[in-house]
Amino acid sequence: MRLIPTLVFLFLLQAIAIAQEKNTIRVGAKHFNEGYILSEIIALLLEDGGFVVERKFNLGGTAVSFQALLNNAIDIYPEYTGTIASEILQQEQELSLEEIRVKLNTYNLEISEPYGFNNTYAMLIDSALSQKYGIRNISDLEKYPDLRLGLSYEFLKRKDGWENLAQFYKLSQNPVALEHGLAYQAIVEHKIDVTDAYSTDGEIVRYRLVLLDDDRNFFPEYHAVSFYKSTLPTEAITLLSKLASSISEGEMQRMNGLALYKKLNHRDIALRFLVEKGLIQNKDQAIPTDTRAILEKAWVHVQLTLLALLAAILVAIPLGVLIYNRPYISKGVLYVAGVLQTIPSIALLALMIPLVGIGMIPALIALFLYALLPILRNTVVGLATVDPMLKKVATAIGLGYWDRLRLVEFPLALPMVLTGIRTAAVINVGTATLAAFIGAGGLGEFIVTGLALNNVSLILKGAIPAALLAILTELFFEGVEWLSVSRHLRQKTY
Amino acid sequence: MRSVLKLDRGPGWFILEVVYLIQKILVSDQTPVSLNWISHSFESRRVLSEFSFSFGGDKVIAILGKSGSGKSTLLQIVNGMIKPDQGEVLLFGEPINYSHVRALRLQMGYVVQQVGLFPHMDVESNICLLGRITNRPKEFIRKRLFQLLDTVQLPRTWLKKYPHELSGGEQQRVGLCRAMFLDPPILLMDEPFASLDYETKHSIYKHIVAMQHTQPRTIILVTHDWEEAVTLADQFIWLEEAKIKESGDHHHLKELKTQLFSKL
Repeated sequence: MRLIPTLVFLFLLQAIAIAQEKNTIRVGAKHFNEGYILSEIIALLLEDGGFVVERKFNLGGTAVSFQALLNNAIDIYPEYTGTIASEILQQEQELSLEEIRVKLNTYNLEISEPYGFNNTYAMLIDSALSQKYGIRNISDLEKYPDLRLGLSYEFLKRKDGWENLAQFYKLSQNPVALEHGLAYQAIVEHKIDVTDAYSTDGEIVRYRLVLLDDDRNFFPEYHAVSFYKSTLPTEAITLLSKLASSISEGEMQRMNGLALYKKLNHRDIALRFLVEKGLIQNKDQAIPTDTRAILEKAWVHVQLTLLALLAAILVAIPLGVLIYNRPYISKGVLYVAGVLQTIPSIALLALMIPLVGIGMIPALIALFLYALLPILRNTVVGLATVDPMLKKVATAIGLGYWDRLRLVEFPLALPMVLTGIRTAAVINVGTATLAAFIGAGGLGEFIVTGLALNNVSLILKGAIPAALLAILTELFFEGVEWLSVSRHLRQKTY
Repeated sequence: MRSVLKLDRGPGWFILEVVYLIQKILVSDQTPVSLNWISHSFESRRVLSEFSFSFGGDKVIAILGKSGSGKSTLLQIVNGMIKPDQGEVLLFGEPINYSHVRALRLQMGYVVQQVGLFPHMDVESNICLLGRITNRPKEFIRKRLFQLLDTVQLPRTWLKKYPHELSGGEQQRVGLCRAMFLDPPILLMDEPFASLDYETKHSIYKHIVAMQHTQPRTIILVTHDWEEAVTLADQFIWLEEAKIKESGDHHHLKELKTQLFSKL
């Protein structure tokens, strides 16, 4: 049983070590291929310049990434100027780079010069049609009202979408609505002639489609920039300034295509780009192997699970001891803990973001709350169901409150309490995979990335170790029970 | 005599202590248990009504009566588990202080019908429990343990057995050892042998009789078994409808038993 304090000590050391790594730059990423590739480019560039980089990818969408930056959970991530203006600064009209910089000053945040490409909505046309009719610009569409337009549901609804575009360019076509993922298929099979897309989509190169020029500047500009805290070291900012105007739309399309069709990992794509551009000399960067990456994530996973479990044990058991013989209070407390349990985990994690930001802390709090109920309930039930005759005898032969609790009631309730801890631990191992959604790391990172990129092997890379971890947890607690409870008192396990 | 002279505090103190001691001997009543005018009810049912009796003289006093006649309540009043509605409980001449009742209980061994051995403790831990919580030295605990095992004829090899591995009679003998561990001046027994078969009962009676012979103490034995009372008791109280119906010495008890059961 001396193992547990030792583990706790190790965790604390690790936590302190993390807090002290000042020279580390934490790079975030948004939740899609382009986001990951750009973040890898930033990370590799910084590593090449001698910085230690912690990759906190899988942050999800704009809201979470921005919160992470604000709450000091990350130092930098790539973002788009249009997104900063409309979603983060909540502006109605487009802002220039200078206007954005001024407004971000109040948050102590900054943006770099644009990387060069503009990832905005765009209109695509089949290349044969483009040649045949000489359609190069969006304004050219006006002359061909019979073209079949297939547009995504989102584009049909957006303010910078079809309705205003049609008005702006005086277009008279009657578009059909279809799922964005199906649009490329439809255009390749000549079911439609024109569709909407993001200008850096990897599919554009692959299917040889032509991007129509927004010749009257209807679409807002979504220039990719580095979005970072003002506290970022000057050397890092200088390093990253090399990225200014270095990535064209074609290059970004090609990199997205490599991730999409060649299934290359984001790091390799980023590395290849940086070397080709001469931004990095060192070609032989140590890429962590899969096993190492899995082990590292599993370790974070174990830390999350056990720290939350430990906190829950330290709170739930004393609380259970305090309330078990006060039926009204224990009913109330168990009810509250039960309500906490019914909040879907992903919702609870989301609720944590405005309260404590993102990263490990909110994940720990959420896991702690989930672990609380099983332990508390089993402690209360375990203590309350100790044979009343034994309690009476213990009192009658002269045991005081503490001796009775320590020597009789708690040991008799222990199998039940241990079962509660075990349930809580297994719940935590499972729920901790969801913690990756708020940037807490762990095996869930593979799963979340895999889901975002529709990559089954990546999902399994997280899911299988997580399942193994759950089994190990079961076995571990079986061992603890075996050591601490005599055989005839053990709970039956199913 | 439990008071101790503290000689190291100087002659003034010594004289005062001696005066105090003499006073105590002259004035106080050293009867282990005195119950005066005890009345107690559960909800509206009266289980004891103006009950008075003194238990002492290192005798075995049997309390007889049907179930529900207030026998067990009486024991729990004696060891302070129940504070009676009315009346006074004196232990060694002093009224029970209900806020420090624990120390009193350590002076009273307690044996119950269902044995009440702790299922998670082995024989040794059950027997030595009170020695351990009162921080007795290890050698003392060891010595006392073997002494008690010998008294009730339990083999030493059973120390690591758990209660569920023992028969009812064996469990009750362990229970007896636990109650006797601190050598209490009073032993309370609540139907201790009710669930045992005839032979087992009698083999344990033997131990109790032997113990009373070598180290007599005041034993209050609650039972509904007249034969058991005749075998063990020096005195008896017969409770009926919350009152003493009859009481007396061993001789009286024997007569009463013949009288009562020959009619059947």
